[in-house]
Amino acid sequence: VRGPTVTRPGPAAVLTAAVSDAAAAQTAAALEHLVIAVYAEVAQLAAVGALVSPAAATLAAVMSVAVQQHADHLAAFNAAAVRLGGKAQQTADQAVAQSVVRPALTATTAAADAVALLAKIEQVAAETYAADVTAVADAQLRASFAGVAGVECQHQAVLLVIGALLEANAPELVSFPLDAVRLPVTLPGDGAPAPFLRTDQARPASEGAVR
Amino acid sequence: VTRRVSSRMGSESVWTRRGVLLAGGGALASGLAACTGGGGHPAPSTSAPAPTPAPPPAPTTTTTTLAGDLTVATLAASLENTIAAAYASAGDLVNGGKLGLVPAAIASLVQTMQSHHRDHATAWNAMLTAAGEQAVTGTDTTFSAAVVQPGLAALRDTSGLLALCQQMERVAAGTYLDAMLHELTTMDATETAAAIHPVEMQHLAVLALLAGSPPAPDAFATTAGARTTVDQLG
Repeated sequence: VRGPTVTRPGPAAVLTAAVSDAAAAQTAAALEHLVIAVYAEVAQLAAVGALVSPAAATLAAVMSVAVQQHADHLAAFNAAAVRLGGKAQQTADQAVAQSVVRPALTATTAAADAVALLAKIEQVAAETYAADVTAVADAQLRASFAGVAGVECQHQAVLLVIGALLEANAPELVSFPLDAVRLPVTLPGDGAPAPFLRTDQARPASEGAVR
Repeated sequence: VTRRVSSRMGSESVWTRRGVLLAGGGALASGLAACTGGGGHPAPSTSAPAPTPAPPPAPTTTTTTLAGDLTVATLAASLENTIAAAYASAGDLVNGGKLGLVPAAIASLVQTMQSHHRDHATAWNAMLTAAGEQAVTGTDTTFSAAVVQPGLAALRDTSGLLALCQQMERVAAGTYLDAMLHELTTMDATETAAAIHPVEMQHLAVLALLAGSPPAPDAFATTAGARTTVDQLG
């Protein structure tokens, strides 16, 4: 069950979280394992390999940065899990892998599909961490969730913009920086599609707990 | 009336800024990554930006001490009002041809972000009014005097517009993260900040793609530029 049974999730809070903080950290680590694996798998897809520059180089650079940052997130969440008395999570979130990633990869026929999958799992991670900000008692872990959620949304924003350009069959516009003069008028807004991050796709904080 | 909210800003810092170094990938990857201490991307300061600030308006203050998270909600609503108004002013400059030829995609993005910030202000004001407080219609005058007004006055072109937008979004994102780490204590307020902070980060990423600066410069968000509840609001 998501959601704390507490009223004060702030720094001085006395919390009784519904799920242990170590479990929440392990779930986050499981998600990070998965995200890193999906980036690696997407990089090997024929549809992605068929891209030519500037799209190919831009996407490769975006993915490279994202993977390294996810590795940092993984290390931070596993460090938190151990500090909180748990074990480091060594495996990917299988629930998301089976329900989200596998079906999407099976259905992928174009680079736009692959980028959409990456954006999707970034969103799942971001929503999970945003929800966890109010679900954990440990201040340092809460800070990690708060700090990482926004970065996942940065990754997602970039991927949404790239995906929109690929979907519009305009791979020549996938460049860095973007050529604003040539962009479809509303396209940059695709990177920030809503004024608030929802949490309806957040994963349960116990989902990736080490059993 | 200038409203000065009470400050409960803690000094605990549980967060350290972490950057990412690319193992390879060449100039493009270097541009897309923000290497701490490297590349062409300046490291954000750890304090609120204040480029030759104009003196803040004299506080003809009736000091209002709001309790708990309402102090942050008041600051947040004021900050959002400031940024939304700045985007409106920037839009006027664009539409008036004052910035030269601004690509329509950027003008459209400015409108989108303005709309988001108005929605954010509405959310904070809903919290305030639900608690029996008045909705905030004013701005963060400290931030406005230090950053926004000088920034708007100096705008000459698209590049400057993007830089000012990034500066404002960085301040908003930093403020929300700082509030989550050090200030907020209630579920509603924390959830609201947690829902808004990532969107400011999205704004930053898109602006960076257009400006040619790293869209995800740090592996962990920072509180750089955060405004505090000692700001003058009015």
